[in-house]
Amino acid sequence: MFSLSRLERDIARRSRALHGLRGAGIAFAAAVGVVLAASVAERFGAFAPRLDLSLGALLFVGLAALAGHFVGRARRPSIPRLLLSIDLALATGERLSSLHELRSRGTALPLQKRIEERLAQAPPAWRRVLRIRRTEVLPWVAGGAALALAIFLAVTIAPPVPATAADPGERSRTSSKGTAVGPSGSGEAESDGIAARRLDPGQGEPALPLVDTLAEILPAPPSRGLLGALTDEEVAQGSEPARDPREALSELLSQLMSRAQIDPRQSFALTEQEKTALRDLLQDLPGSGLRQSLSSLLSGETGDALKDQIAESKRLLDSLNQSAEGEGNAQVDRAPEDQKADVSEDGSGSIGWVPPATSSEGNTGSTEGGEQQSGTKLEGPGTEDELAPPLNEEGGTAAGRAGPGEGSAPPPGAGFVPEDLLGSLGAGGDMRRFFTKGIPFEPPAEERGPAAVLSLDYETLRALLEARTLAPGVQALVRTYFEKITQGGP
Amino acid sequence: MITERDLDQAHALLGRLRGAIDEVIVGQKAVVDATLITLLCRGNLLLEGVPGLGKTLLVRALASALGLRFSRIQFTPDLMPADILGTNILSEDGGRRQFTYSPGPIFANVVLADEVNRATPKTQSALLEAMEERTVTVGKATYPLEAPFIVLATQNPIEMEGTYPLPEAQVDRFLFKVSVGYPSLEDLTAITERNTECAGLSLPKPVATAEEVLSAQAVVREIPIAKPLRQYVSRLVLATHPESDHAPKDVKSFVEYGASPRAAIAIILGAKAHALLAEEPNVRKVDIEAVFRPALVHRVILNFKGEAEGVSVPTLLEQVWKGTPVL
Repeated sequence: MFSLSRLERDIARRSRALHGLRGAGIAFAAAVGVVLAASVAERFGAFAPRLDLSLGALLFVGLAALAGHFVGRARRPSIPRLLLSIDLALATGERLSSLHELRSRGTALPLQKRIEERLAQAPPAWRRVLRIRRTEVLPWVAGGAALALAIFLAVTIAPPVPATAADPGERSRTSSKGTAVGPSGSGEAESDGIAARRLDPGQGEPALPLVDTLAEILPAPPSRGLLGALTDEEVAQGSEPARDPREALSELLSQLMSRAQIDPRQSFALTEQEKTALRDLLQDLPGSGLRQSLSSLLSGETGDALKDQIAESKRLLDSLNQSAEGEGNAQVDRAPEDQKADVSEDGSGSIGWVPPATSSEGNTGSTEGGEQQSGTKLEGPGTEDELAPPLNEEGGTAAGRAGPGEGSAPPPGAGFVPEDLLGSLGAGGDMRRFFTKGIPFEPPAEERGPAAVLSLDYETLRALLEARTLAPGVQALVRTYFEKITQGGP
Repeated sequence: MITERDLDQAHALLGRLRGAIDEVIVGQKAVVDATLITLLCRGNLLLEGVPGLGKTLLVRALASALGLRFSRIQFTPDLMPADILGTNILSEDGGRRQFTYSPGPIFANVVLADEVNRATPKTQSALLEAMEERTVTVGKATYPLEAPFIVLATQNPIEMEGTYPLPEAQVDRFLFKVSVGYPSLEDLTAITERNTECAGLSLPKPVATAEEVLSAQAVVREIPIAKPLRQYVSRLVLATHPESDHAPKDVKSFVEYGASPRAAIAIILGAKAHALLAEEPNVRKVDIEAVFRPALVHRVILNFKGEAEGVSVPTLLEQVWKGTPVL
């Protein structure tokens, strides 16, 4: 005998299961959509990748699917509609739905009996109708694909760096150098760490140096192009890399003198920063007289007395510099070409223009820094070889000290290769710099100081000048130089 | 509450009636079925067709097979309502004069209103009460009509001169409107054979009683129809209304008035009767489909645009049928 009650119970159970599956699929797809959006945001650096967040996202997806399942199951299926859909699909002559109608009315027993007899003869295979269809599967497929994409995005981002566990000193070092440690995304993580630190002033960390500040301001890692090869410590100390302490001191004293001139007060005194700079410079300065004079500056004098001490220190320093230049010029190494072309073999006749050590090294460093647009600091020799092989072939020291026109003969194809420098500091936009290939870098105009050594071998120098590939403007510079010192004639 | 016996009797009655009608009427199965369904639903039937297709013969055969009182009213332009309903006449009884009601031909079980569109609207309206309420009111007195009662009207669609189109109110009272078409070659051959051989055509003998018909009418009402199918019928009827969201584009453009709720009742009752006729214990979608068009074709009124462009109502109904999902 056909039992409609049992059939309705089975159909209802099956329908609720399908509704649960569909609800879970829809909730799963929606939750995965949220997670995918979060992954994209993470990818673009909206927040730092964190393991607990990833696990939370997976948990969220699972809970959403579970909730969707229960919500779907909670929906009461419309039995008459289900029965009619089965009737229509199986072409049962709408007997199931009619039987349900008869039973709900509780009348017309003969008709009910006849319908049941016919149904008993050919029981409907209702499971064929209430099967898992595309509408149930599609949300799962879409959600699965989106979840795979989200996982892919999450995996391709570097492993999360716990911001709280980072060593402040290490973080300061890495961040100040703007170094991207990881293959990708570590820069974002680092900047995020900095941002987190800014949000939490209670940690009491020292003020960030300039490069750190710029790293926070600019989306791109700070370019070393404008700052040259300054390290963070150097930037913090207000000095340039590998500068002669005497030059730094000279500059500092000049600044103090300038300030003293415009400050007529008797209370004129050194600032703590100036004192600190002086103390640092004192350690590296030769000459006990100069050191004593500088020590007196730190003694706490104020007003005119202090101004006099500054002037005295400056005078001592200038005299010391002059004597040092004479010694230094005599020790300048010459390039092999220069030696071959030089008429006087003892090296006293033709020294050529010796750029300031800071300029040469700074330029080299600038080139290096400029090459590393990502802000990576070059530390290995291999990287330097890669960036400026001709200079390093001559030896780092020689190349650093040799000025334009002093290096080895440029290899074939050497020259000045214009290169667009993207991502610079400030609002200046892109700028162009010359990448020196095989020959020394042309110093900027402001760095072309007066020739320290006077050469008298004009013919040789002219020959050298004409035989070599020089950077634009160098020939004019040299020609002007010779014209000035010879007053128009040899 | 019907019994097994009622159900079996209804099936037997319908079988006998169909057999009796088939003795006279060749082919026209849809028309015969529509006539029987109308009888089972306690409705009225409007038969439309050119002369000579057997409309009148069908009605006479049915009336003869039923063995019930039959009257035929030939509608003409000068026919008056009293000619149909009857009138009060002055009579003298024992020296006392009084008005006595003399019933008209409407007082029968099967009424044939032949060429109903030839009478004036006034006369046509005389049928309204009888067709719907099964009563006749003359003067201040109302007289019930004997059950079963069925009006079978015919009209000729081509001879329009001197005719009066039926008012919408009266048209709506017909359960179905059936177009009687030309017979096929085989049917026509059989018709000529029956009418030209031997003694000619004779009407069938009675095969049913009034009680059996009434019992079958009660059985029809018990035939179950699923609730979603009932909703489906409602959506079908609403889809004929131009202002309905369910209406197809052409219905919105060319229809002035859609079908009335009486149409939905006609479809469901007709589907039930159709199921009983097919010896099915319940209403199926095919039963609804069988009665959908004849139940609606005379209830959808085209607007001026639809009339001007020659839109046919059956075409619109086809769109409604195809554009309305069951679930």
